[in-house]
Amino acid sequence: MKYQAVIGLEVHAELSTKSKIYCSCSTSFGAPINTHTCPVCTGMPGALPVLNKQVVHYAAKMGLATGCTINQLCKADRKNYFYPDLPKAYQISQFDVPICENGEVFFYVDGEKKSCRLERIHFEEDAGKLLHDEIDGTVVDFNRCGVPLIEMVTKPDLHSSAEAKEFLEMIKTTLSYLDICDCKMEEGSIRCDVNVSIRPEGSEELGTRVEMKNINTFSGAVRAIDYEIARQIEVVENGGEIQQETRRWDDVKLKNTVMRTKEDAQDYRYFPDPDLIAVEISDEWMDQIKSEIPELPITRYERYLNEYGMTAMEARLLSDNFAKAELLDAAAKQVKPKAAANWILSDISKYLNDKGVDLPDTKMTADKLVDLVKLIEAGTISGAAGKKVLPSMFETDETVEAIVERMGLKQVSDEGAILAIVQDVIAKNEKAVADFKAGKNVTGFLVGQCMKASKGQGNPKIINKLIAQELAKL
Amino acid sequence: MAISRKEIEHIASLARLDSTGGIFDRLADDMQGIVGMVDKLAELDLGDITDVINTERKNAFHEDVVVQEYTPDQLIEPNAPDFQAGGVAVPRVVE
Repeated sequence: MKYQAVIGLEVHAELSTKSKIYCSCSTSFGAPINTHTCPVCTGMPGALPVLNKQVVHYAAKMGLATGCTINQLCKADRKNYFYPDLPKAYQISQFDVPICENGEVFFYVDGEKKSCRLERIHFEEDAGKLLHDEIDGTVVDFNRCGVPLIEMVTKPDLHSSAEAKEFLEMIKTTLSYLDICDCKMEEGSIRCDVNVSIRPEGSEELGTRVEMKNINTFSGAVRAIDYEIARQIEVVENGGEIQQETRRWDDVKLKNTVMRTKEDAQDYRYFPDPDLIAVEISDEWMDQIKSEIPELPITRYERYLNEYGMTAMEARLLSDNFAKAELLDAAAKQVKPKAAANWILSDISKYLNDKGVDLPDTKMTADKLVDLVKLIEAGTISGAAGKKVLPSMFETDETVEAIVERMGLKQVSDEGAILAIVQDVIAKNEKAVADFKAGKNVTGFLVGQCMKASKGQGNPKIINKLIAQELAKL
Repeated sequence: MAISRKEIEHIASLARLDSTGGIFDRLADDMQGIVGMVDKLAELDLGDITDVINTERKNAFHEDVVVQEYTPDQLIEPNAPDFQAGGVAVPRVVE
């Protein structure tokens, strides 16, 4: 029998606020144990939480960017459970009135546009971290307690690991476009739980679902989903029944094991947090948030395909990175998009990768890129010289013209001056001339010699033309 | 609504509490009392009140500014039953 997988995701993203969600402790990653703590985030009796305004702003921003309805009046609820990383024994989350509901995320899988509905987005606090290597037992580090999260819950609209991966990538790109999450996977800034069930192909009924936890990378999510689909098919094919349970994914052993069965299901006993009052987002505030949302990645991707005539790969690479996309669009107002895109995809990306920096941390601007492209198009400098100019464009405030001048890279396009070089090179290379007369192609060699003689500044087009002209005279 | 022994055992296990022995009867009485009080609340005539959010007061926020007032030896150490390696030491937890 053929089966269809039905997948839903719960994605947690840490918001990039400076302070925690209910207190003013720092959220910065990697601080010494328990140095970012206070009575509120360690759950001391009598301490009262106060909501970080920026959390509401960021959560609503993600909701608006994913087509959600924003509940302009919402509240916080307590989710109760016992675990050593949760000092209050409850997590402040949102239950029946989340800040955002009913969204939809669009993405491409192998050139086909798909979508996945979002059931809700709510804000909540992160839990602490358990350290097992410090002592013979476990030590609790509360630094992460109270770091703001948004949890995005999808409808079961995904049907393969490939779809799940592209959905997750689109969430990540959107978060980075909105500048509300640092998206550092290695620091756990985005984490997800996966719900998987299978059903006979063509069936509309949902099968029993299994939840998988402990998934820290998108590639890990792909492996976990593929494993779980195969496991469920095997169980059913062997006449077994899928149990509703939570399983822990082990990305080293590449298998999952039972964590909790239905009988141990948590009873979170949600109720409105009496320490916190209602949140109301005014229409003015909504307008402010809306005005901060840039053109979104999928819209840009489609525009790059349709208006700029890019390949899917080029459009994807450029639209995936907000800073690069902004640079491209600004430059494309003055030069051909393709010319600017080529620089961004090749040498600019290479420089950023080599140096391990992000575009906004450099001095590169769209105006500089435009100047570079124009200087090359006008023949003032060669493409090769352009590559030499680039590092200074990232690192200094000099204009491109000034860099070209300083480095002596201006191309010589004066035919008289080049002709003198060409004639001199031909005169000095008797062997090449002999080879030419014997029918060999020596143009490349002579161009190279001329470039060398002109210290790389001769216009190669003119050199080529004049060499052909002079050789013809022999 | 009556509380069964099974329910108490379930809640006790979620709360990592030992529900064996004599404590069960006391817990059963306490919980019956609590549930009874909540049942009593359900008798209230709330008329046409449908709001799930109390809007008498709203929007108390802190600005997104970092204030770090405590060190672990001021805050955690005096309050931890067992303080080791800069944090609260607990029995080994591996779920």
